[in-house]
This record gives sequence, C-alpha cells and structure tokens, in this order.
Amino acid sequence: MNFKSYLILLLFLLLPSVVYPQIGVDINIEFGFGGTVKVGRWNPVSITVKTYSIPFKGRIEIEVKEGSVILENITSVILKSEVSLPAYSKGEYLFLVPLSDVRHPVRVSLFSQDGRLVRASNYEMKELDMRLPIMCIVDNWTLPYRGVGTRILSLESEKFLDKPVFILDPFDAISLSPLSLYKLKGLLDKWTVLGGKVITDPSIDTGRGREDTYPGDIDISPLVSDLIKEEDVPLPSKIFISLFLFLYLVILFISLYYFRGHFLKKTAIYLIICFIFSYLAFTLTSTVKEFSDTGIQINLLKIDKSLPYARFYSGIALFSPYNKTVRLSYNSRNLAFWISRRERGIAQTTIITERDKNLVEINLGPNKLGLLRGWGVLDFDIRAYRDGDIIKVVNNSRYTLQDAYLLKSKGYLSLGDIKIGSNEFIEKDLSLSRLTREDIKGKILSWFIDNGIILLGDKNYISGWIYTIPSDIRFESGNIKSITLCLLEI
Amino acid sequence: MITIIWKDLESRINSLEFIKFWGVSLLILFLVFVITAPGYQRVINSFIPKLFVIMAISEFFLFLAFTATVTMGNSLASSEKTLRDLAIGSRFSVFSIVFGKLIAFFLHLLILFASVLPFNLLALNLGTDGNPVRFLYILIVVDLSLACWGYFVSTFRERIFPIILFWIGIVVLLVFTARLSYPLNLVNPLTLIYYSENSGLVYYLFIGLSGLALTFWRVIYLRRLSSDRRAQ
Repeated sequence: MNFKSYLILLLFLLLPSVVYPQIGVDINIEFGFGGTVKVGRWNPVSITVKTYSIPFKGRIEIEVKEGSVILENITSVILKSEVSLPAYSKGEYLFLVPLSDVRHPVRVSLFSQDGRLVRASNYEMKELDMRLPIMCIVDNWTLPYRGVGTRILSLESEKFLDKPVFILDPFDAISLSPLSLYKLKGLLDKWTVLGGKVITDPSIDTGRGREDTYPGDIDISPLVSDLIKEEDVPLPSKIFISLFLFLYLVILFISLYYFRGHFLKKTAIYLIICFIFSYLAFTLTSTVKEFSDTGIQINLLKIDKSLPYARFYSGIALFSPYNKTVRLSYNSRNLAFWISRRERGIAQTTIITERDKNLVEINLGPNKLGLLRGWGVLDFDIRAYRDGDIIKVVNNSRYTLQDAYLLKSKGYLSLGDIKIGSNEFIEKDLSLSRLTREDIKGKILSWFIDNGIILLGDKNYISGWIYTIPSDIRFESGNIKSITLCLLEI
Repeated sequence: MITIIWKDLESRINSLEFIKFWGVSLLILFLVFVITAPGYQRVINSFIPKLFVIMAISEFFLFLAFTATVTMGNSLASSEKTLRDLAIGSRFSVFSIVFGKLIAFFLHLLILFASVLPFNLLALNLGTDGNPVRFLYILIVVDLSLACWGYFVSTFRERIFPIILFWIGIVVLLVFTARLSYPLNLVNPLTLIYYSENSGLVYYLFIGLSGLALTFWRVIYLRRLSSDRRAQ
C-alpha cells in the first residue's frame, strides 16, 4: 500500500467523526432560571433539543427520587415527554419538577425512538443557598428590597407568557411595573391565590415571603390513604364461580363415565365440554381486572374572597389487587400532581407532559397503592357578604355546594345547599350545633379540624361539599369517589 | 406405531378406572381453587394470591401422578399393554414401541390438559398475572422426560424397587434441588413454574434423553431375550 492509499483510508476513517455532529442531536438542559432553583418548590427544567441533517424522534425522561434508603421508602416519579423534531430545527420542552429531597440527584435522560440512551445528566442539589427566598424583578423594574439573605433574579415578562402558573413557584415575591402586571395579570392572579406576593409599589416591604407550596402546607394524601384502606374492592362472587366449576366437573364426569360410544366420539365430547367451559370461564371473568381498581379523591378548596379562584389541595388514593395501569389527566396550566411520601409500597408513577395537560400513569398491583398529592388553582367564583344578620352568598361557580355550614369557633350553623346564583341566609334564625365526627364525611371534616385547617384563629368560614370530580381532572377509571370540601372565609 | 398410539389412547380413554382417577384429581383441583380464590379484597393485609401459580403447581402434581401411574404401572387401564408386554410379546419394532408409547402419552397429556383449562383461565383473570403457554411448555417437557424414566421402570418384571427409586428421585427433584444455588436450582420444576422460567428445561433434555436411552436399552434387551427364548 502506498502513501496515497493510506491517506485515502485515513480520510475515510475520519469521515464519520465529521459527519456525526451533522446527523446527531444537541440538547441543552437548564435547571430553574439560569441555574437558580429553590428547594421545596416546583422548579422549571427547560430542555432544548436541536436537530441537524436528519429528523429526531425519541423521548425525554426526568427521574426524581424521594425518600430514605435506611427507611426503605424511596419513591421515584418519571416525567416523560415525546420528542419529534424535523431536520435543522429546535424544540423547547418545559417540565415542572418539585425539588424537595436534596439527598437524591435529578436525572435527565434523552432516549432515541429505539430506546437508546442519547444523553444523560444528573443534577445534584447540595448548595445551601437554594433554600433562600427568591425575588424576581420583571422587565428591569425598580428593586424595592434592600438587605441580605434574598436572591434577586431579573427576567423578562416574555419568559412567563403563556406558561403554567407553577413556573412562578420558585419565587417568593415578584416586583414589576403596572404595565408588566397588566401583561401577566391572569398568571399573577392565580399565583397570588397560591400565596405569591406581587409588588408594584417599591415602598412596600416584602416581609418574610410566602410559605412553601411544596411539599405543601396541607397534605391530604394521608387521609385518603387511610380511607382507601377501609374500602372493599369488588371481586366476582366466589360462590358463583365455585358453582360454575362444580357444574363443569359434574357434566364432564357424567359425560365421560356414562358415554358408551367410540373413544374418538368420547374424546370429541370431552374436548367440546372443556372448551365451552373454558370460554365461559374466561369471558365471565375477563372484566374483573378492568373494573378492579377503586379510588378516593378528597379535595380542599380555599376560595379567595377577592378573586374568582380557589386554592386547590387534593389527595388521591388508588388501589387495584391486580396488576393494571390507571390513568388520570389534568390541566397542567393550573394544577400539579406528585406522589405522596412517607408511605411504603407506592405504585410506580409516570407523568407524561403535554402542552396543556399532563397524563399520569400509575402502575397498580397487589400491595401497591397509588397515592398522589395535588396543588393548584381552580376557577371558582363564590363571594360571601355579611349584611347585619343576613349572609349573602353569590355562587357564580358551576357547582352547587351541598350541606353548607357557617363554621364558627364553637360549632356550626346549618345553611342547607348553596345553589348556583344568589343565596341569602338569616343568621339569627339558625341554631348553633356541634361539629359531627361520624361517618366518612364527619371523618374528613374532623381530619381537617384535627390538622388545624378549619377554624384557625377567630375566622369564620362557610363550608360546603361537592361530590363531583373537578372539571380540570379526568380519570380513566370509573370507580373513583370524589369529595370536595369548599371553604370560604367570611 | 400408529396401532400402539391408537390402542393406548383407546384403552385409557375408555377405562372407567382412569375416568374415576381423573375425576378425583379434578375434584382436588376444584377444592384447591375454592380455598385459594379470593372472595373480597382490602388494601390492608391485601393478599391476592398468585392464583395461577397455585393452580399451576397443583396441576403439576396431578400430572406428575398421571405420568407416574400411566408410564410405570398400567394399573388404571386393564386393556393397555405395558412396554414390557409389547417388547416381549409383539412384533413391533423397538423404535415403534418406545416412540408409540411416548407419543400416546404426549397426546393423552394434551387431552387431559384441556380439562384443566377452565381452572387456568379463571386463575388468570382472578389472580395476579400468569403465563399459561409457558406453563404448558414446562409441564410437557418435565412430564415427557419423567415419562421416559417411567417407561424404563415399566420394563422390569419386579417393579417395586425401581418404583421406590423413581419416587425418591422425584422427591429429590422437588425438595432438595430447590436448595441448590442458581442456576442449578432451575432444575426444580416448582421453581420453573413459580418464576415462569423455562431456561432450566435444558436439564430435562439430559434427564429425558438418559431415560430414553435406558428404555431403548431395556427394550432391545427384552426383545433379544424373547427372541432367544422363541428360538429355544
């Protein structure tokens, strides 16, 4: 081989390394806002995928772990999004990830369509300043806060336009001009309902900032977990199936024992009986697994007096004695769901993120409980006024509040149902009763009272119950009971 | 060979003793099902049994009893000829006798498996997941290889001692092999059924082939013995 041949061979071998960047994909992962995150809150993880000369199909997965190795209660949630990009294009994928457990890194992976790992990255949460309050200055508005112990971020309002409300979750306060406030009004109103502090006047001090929304000041999942453990799961009648099998055995035995024909005919009769009963056995019980799951959803709605929104807390427990996947979808613009902690045997949960909704897949099975916590904002416009002895309640929501009470520190006044539209109640006509702690509803109510959620301080509330699943959440399973306690401060 | 298969199946299917035997077997299976099938379910202390696995293991024992009975003893079908009878008293070739018997056994096993299908399909829907096709595969391979040894036992005139040895072998296979380390423990058929694992079936290839070789050897020996006697 002469020199020219070696040169050609070398060039030929170098060719893939030149071509590879052209046909591969680049991904860029941004945690939080330019790397600024807040532990104990939902943080955006923005992943940009860039393609070159060929299209790319695959998926992005983010795995978040919680729990203790020693207590053996580690649970993990996988957030997943499908990626499909044409050649020479760029796609941005936004995930909202609760960063709560600093012991485990967040793992981001990009897979090709055939399941090949293209790139993986781990994000460690060790820096202590991740716990400090964050103030966001929007559109270079004047900084109203002076002092130490707060991280300041300056961002453009375009960053938040058309985004879910939880993108603002890392912030404790947002300072912005009236013009920016107008641009972001819908988003900021919802964020305010969640506890965020909006400052447009530089003279107002931000104070200590708001409380965490994650892992949540109200976690209903232990209540639903306890309640579902008392539930009986419907299984087909054992007596019916036993009688069916006994009938099969009797028919089979009699036909074989008393038939006196050729042995091939006997075999044919035997096989026909076996296959008929096999078919019946399978078809009669084929829907058992399909309808085997049972679930409870308990929600708490704290209705804002001044805005047409309610702060939403939810606990969902799902169980099936058989291996099956249960799905629920929800409006990801206003709501966020995550699995519960402090429970063993939590079912594997995958959250598939789409533009306007998220789909949660929970792999249930024997001794595996699907347990979710939810937070967010729901459109819920109920206003209550007190005019002397008259209590006026204007219900502009789409729900009737059943068994409404006026909750006071020493008892309650029964108001009946609060229907859609205008309602009036005269307080002096009603008699004060003690709060009941019986039956399921009583148990839920007493749980809320025991956890200090109702009757805090001297505040009075109107409470009512809704027995339908909120319209922003949809279960594929039909065997879900939903109960919502609505609380309106008066 | 076809005559042997035909006669074997005919004698067994027409045998009232065999029908009683299988009827009692299915009744036992029914009782196992009634005891283990769940009536209701709660999350606390939740225990949906691996119903399919329980039924599959119960069925394995029934088919083991069937295999041992029909291959070694011929006590259930009076008109059925044993391997020894055929080797000594018939003019069929050794190959036809051995494989005719084995194919008849295989077909009968498949026919009998149809009668446990309702149990399996119910267990599939009412218990946690199972793989009926893999179970059938394990059952066929294990029972066929044990049948080879059963037929070997049936070639002896005095069968008590070989039968005892056969059952000792079964006990060793079922009990002691489970204590072996992986992958040797995969020789245990209960382990294979429990984990729905078929990689251990390669052991049964050796068990079956060794039994088959010994059976061939015995049948050839018996045939030669009978030819010598006839010649004398």
